Amino acid sequence: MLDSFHKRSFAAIIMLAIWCSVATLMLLHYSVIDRDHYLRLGNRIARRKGIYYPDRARILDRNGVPLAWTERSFDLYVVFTSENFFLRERTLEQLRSVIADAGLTRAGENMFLVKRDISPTELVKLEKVMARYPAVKVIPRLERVVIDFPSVREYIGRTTNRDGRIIGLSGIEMQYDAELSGSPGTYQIMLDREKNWIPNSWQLLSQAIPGEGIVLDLTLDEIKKREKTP
Amino acid sequence: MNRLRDTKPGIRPEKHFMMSMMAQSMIFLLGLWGCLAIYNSNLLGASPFYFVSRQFIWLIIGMLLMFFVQRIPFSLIRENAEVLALLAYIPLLVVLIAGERINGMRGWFSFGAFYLQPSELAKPFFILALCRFGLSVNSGIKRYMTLFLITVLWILPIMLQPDIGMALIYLAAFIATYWLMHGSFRHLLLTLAACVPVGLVLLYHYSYLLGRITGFLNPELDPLGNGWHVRQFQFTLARGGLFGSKIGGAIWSNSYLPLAHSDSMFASIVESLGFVGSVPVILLFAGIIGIFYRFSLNAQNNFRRVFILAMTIMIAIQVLVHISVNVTLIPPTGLTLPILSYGGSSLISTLLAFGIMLSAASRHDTARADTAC
Repeated sequence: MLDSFHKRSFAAIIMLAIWCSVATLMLLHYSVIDRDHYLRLGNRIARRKGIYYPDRARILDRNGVPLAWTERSFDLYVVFTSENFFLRERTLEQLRSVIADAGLTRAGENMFLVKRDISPTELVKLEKVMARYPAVKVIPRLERVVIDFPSVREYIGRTTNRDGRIIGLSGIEMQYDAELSGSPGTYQIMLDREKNWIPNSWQLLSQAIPGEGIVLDLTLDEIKKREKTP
Repeated sequence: MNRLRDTKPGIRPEKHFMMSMMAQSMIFLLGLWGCLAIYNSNLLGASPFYFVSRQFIWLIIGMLLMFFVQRIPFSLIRENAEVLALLAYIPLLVVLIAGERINGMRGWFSFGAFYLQPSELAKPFFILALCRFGLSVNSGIKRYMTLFLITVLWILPIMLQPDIGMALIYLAAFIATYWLMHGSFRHLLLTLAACVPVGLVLLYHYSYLLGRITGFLNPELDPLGNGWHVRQFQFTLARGGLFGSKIGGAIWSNSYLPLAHSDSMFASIVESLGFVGSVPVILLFAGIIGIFYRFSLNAQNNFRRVFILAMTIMIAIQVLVHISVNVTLIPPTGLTLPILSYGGSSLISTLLAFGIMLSAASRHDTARADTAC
């Protein structure tokens, strides 16, 4: 019996050793031998390239007084991709515990605006909620601010926000659009299953070149005195 | 069988002590390794310390339990094997009525924030029951029938949960135990043949099992459904490469890999430490298995011999099934990696089993009842 036990136990251990060797070879295959192939396939799912625009440059009067500049603000949204009612309720409950005056305005098919212009303090508080509830999203918004005076507004011109980029539609904004805009940069990011950015995965591919500020020949007072164009 | 006792000189006491200490150190090292891997797989989540702190507490409790249990004379455990087995078996039935359903499986008792999985805790007592009843009969066919009946009784409630992966581990443990008890090869072939129709019924009854198999055979067929898990294993291993993406850089485990801290633990380790860093995990397991193999060969009698080696093989099979699933050698089964994966029941059960095995390997205990096998 003892001799048989020795033989049988040895046979069992040998079988386990063979199984272990095959598993190790498979591991070697995926992590070393055929690694590049699977990395490429994986990256196709997760990696996305994107374009980012530098802040639109300022327009100054002859004395260096800023007449138009860009401000970056952050809006809070929820995008419900799941039909789970309880998950929706829990997400909103969590949001309300951080943002006291949270509202819910429809902004798209599944997208709701919770609050515009959230403060940096609120942004920090939201970090934990966003990590736990992927439906919560903070979307940055660029806003072109012009000195609030009719003739100045008209002279500087109108802008619009298209795909995260501010474009001049009239006046100085349109005339010097290329100079003010600069050149966009490119980045690469990894997205999770919910299409959220994965922290620490942002990679700069090419740096954006900021636009050059425009200094006008006129002073602010001279622009104010200008008559309205018929 | 009795006359064959002590036919071989055992390991010298000092060497035995050294091997025992070495095994316990390796187990603790693997436990710590597991804590690190669990932390790493939750690093980018909202509460990275949630799982690891709980696991560390379970590890300390488990190590203390192992330390305490190995000091209990094995003769006492053997004498009470039937009672212990019954105490471990009853919760398997109760959980079907009073258990909590998690991931579609009614296999846990819930105590507030803590969950207990009786099928994990019952493992060492199942082997104990097989040894107790199997070695008490001498006839080959009677022994086979006894062991087979016990196995069916234990597997049935586990399959009803349904935890098919765990049921397969119990079945493998039965085969190993019977094999070590000088079982007939023909009987084992018959058992495997009988598994085929049972398997077909299971595939028919639980459609997700068929999905797992088709997803494994051709993940491209349904890459976002059944093939998702297999695909993510491949991508995670590839990201690990030879040297890993360093601790804290396991982006794939944190974002794509399902259950990176439990069922996909090995792949998560590979992503962080690479091929070079994950092979030591395999070697540590191999070292532990080697030491207990030596203990079994030098044990005082057949009961201890078979118990130590059958339990070792049961743990080794679970380790290999987990690793094989993670390297896509076999379809996903939902089994944890013993000692390393998150889960109090799994960790406590494994460390309890090691405690009983160390008690069985001890040469100090020579009680009267123990010499009777």
